[in-house]
Amino acid sequence: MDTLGQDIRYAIRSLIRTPGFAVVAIVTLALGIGANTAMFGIVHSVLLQPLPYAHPDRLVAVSETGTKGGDIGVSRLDLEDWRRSTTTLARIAGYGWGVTSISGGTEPLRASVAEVTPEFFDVFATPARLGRTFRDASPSSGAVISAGLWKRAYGARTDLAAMTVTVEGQQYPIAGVMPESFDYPHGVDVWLPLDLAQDNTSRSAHNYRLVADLRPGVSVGAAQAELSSVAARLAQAYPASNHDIGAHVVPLQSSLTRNVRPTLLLLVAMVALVLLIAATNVANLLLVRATARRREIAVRAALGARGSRIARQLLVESIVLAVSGGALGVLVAAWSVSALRSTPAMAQLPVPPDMGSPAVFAFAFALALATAILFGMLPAMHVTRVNLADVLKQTAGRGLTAQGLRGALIIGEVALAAVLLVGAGLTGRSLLRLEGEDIGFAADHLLVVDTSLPAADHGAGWVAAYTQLLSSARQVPGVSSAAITTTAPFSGTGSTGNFMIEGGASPDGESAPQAGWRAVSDGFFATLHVPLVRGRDFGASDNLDAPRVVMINAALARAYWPGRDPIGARIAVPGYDEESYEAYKRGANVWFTVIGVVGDVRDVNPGAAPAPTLYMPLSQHPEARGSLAIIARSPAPASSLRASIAAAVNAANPGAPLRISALDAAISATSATPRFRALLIGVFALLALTLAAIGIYGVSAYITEQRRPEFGVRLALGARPVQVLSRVIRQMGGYAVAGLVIGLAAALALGRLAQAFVYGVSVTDPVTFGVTAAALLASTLVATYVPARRAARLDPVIALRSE
Amino acid sequence: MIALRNIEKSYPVAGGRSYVLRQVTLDIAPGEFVTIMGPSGAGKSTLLSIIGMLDGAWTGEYRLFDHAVHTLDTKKRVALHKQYVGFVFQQYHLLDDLTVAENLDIPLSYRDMKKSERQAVVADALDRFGIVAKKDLYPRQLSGGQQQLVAVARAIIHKPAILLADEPTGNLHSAQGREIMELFRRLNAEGTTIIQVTHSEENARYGHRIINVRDGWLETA
Repeated sequence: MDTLGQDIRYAIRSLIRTPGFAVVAIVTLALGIGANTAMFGIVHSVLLQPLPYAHPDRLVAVSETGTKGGDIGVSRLDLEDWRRSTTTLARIAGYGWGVTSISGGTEPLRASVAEVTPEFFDVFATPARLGRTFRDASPSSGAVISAGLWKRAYGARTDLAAMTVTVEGQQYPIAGVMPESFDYPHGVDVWLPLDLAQDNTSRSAHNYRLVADLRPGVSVGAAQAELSSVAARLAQAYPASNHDIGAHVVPLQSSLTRNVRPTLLLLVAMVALVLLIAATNVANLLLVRATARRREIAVRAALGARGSRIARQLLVESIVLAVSGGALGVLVAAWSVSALRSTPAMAQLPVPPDMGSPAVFAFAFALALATAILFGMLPAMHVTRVNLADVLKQTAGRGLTAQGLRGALIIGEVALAAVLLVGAGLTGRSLLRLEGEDIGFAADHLLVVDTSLPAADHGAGWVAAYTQLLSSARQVPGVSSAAITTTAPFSGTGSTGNFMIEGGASPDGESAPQAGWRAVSDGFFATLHVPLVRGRDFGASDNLDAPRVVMINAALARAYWPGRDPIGARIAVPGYDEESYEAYKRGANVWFTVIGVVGDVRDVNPGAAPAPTLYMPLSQHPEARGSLAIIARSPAPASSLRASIAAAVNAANPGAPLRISALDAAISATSATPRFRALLIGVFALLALTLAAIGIYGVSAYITEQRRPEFGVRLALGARPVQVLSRVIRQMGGYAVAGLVIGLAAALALGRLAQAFVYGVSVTDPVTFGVTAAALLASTLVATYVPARRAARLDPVIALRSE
Repeated sequence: MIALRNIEKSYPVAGGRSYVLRQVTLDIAPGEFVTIMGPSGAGKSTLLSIIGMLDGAWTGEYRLFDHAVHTLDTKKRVALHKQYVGFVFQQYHLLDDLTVAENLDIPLSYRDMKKSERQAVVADALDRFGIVAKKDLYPRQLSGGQQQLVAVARAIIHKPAILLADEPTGNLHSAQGREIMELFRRLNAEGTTIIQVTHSEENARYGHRIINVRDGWLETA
């Protein structure tokens, strides 16, 4: 044991005596281990750490599946049937949520509000930290608020009895405050009781998300099998609405991380390549160092050291290096994650990364140790195989075998860097394509003001109120046009439902025509610069007393009136409002006449093709009251309007909460994940390229030094410096080309797996592959040039004398 | 003690083999001080490496005490080397990153001796060789003669039966060289068998007999 301590002491001393080598090796490892630890920190928190509830393994998300196989919400009637039939699930809670205006705290604000059935908190087995959760589904049961809102808006007061929250005009007593760790659905600040008995929608209204807890000892598979069989029974009993409707049960954690998991796993794979390159570099450095220390090693052997003891000494040195690199790597990781924390994609993660977790430190340590053992062994094995007598006589060869090994390592790291560069190229170009996509309207110079009108107003009063609000916004100096909608583009909200064309099929069932619904004021299309393709825009004449009208987008026109003019056609949307639904139940319909066709817009995701969309005039739909968004255009930068428009809206609608944002920022946020992906892979690729260049430089410098006498002889025999220069560059270029061929072939083979992450470019994109090859060859040239030039400038007399 | 029979060492070359040692037969008794001489490239150092078991690629028979070295695998030869042999080199080959005391400690630590025992043995050697004051210095802080003194101390610290010295004074000026040779004479008088390779007639005179090697053949045995 004391000899191990001796080895560690000597290793540290030996590294201190060669600071250049030690710093390069430690920094290289710190970058590799740091990047990997950062990714592990994120993956550990998001994918591996159990959810912070009493029985995380028993929580499941339950949904229905539609004809296209995707998960959809669950209808109230189906939920009730499932509740009656299930023996595998202890409780099933339904919920829905959205962003709306609340007041009751220090000031009105916009917040995420969920409506949940009374057993919701029991599913999570989480009691309130203060007060209680719901007794029943009635509004008198009160509201439950998050710990965050409690601190932010209520100053962490404990006099619950005196606290209320008002949501869309309805006041609720605050029944309880949830603990800090309770964050479901993610970001919700207010939970209100949801009374399913008040919902009289049909089986085709898939309005609810469900969360449930498995009975103890029951597997997810068993619950899935049970609900599938119930769903099959419902499909037989109600073929019109439930034909092809299935059930899907997944662990809640999988459901929460479904969207981020593929990206995180891709990034983990990519960052592992960076570590491999870093470790290859360090192996190369260790090999060079070990070769330079052959004499010392031979002396140790001559003094009686066994091969295993010498290997241990070398291994201890690489462990000291790797542990130092690992310690620095943990700092690199903490810094990187903290730098990334402000990116929108990180804010969207269901769980924030916890870099202080012991698991993160254990990971970094294990990674450092594994790296040291894997890559420290190679030089150790190599150097302990040399002929001692030859080394001691200093007649040993100049390490040609090691040169071959070094060449192989260079080929390896160039190949790995090529894979990463191709990955970066493809994700980067995808992002450019995505952000360059024509969204169908001019998003710059648009300001979105999210607010709400008092819910007490309804009918004509509400129309008058929003008209007044709109008028105030339009009068703000600098506003060239403004409009109001219930669904601002890229707000992440929106409704979709069935409709029927006069003389067409019933809207019940999955095969009925479907479209997105938007309620907008007059001037909406003009403000957004959405072209009017046919017909007319909404106008003052489209009031409550006038016949109902609707506008449609070009995608809907193409889908349902191909080659024909839809103007004048009539449609019914039974689920749109109460009047339509009541009429539908009586077997009648409220018909909306199509008055105009507008250009397609991508208002949910720039990468998604425009879906058929119906636009209703707000002036005929006062039931749309609640949250509103004023959209204002200005020739000046939109942000310059913030203060004046806020003042105008406040004056017109005192006390209403406001949230003002630039629309282009919201659009940018929708590509947060692809941007995050492209950013990280880009950083990894840059790191890989730099490390590969350092590796190539190190090996060229070493080989050049080893071949000094040869170059001296060549120069003495009349070789021109350029011939010496080209010999070095040719040798390293050969390694780089071999690595490039292997790397590009691997990237081609792996491309299929990356298909889901690219948009608008082929995974075999020749530009990306070409740029990768050019970048790596250029890096090789630059990294080789300096040592090669040094060799070409050798003074043959000095070179030969030193031999 | 050392019995070599028909030892040969060769390398493959185009069209045959190149011989470094030919049919070397040699006996060395315990307590002898033998000098190996010959021109450069004659095979002297190779012979010393074979005797010291640093070189394992040869043919013939080699007996050391009652061990048939030629029948042993590398591991057993390394064990024999550790038990019986100490080496002194022309270039001293001290470990640059270790102090004088640590250089002396290294062979003992390779023999799995306990730390407390090692400290005692090292202290004794420092005292015996008169280098106590230098114990914390690094090799680069010593003169050539001092370095070779440390190298000799290191070679015999584990009390080997045989001390092999390859041009031990080759890098030293004459006074330093004489000092080392006197040290060898004392060690030999105390019972250590010494085999040295040298070009120096003066150094050769310290030994009991001289073996000449020429083109791989022994001229006198």
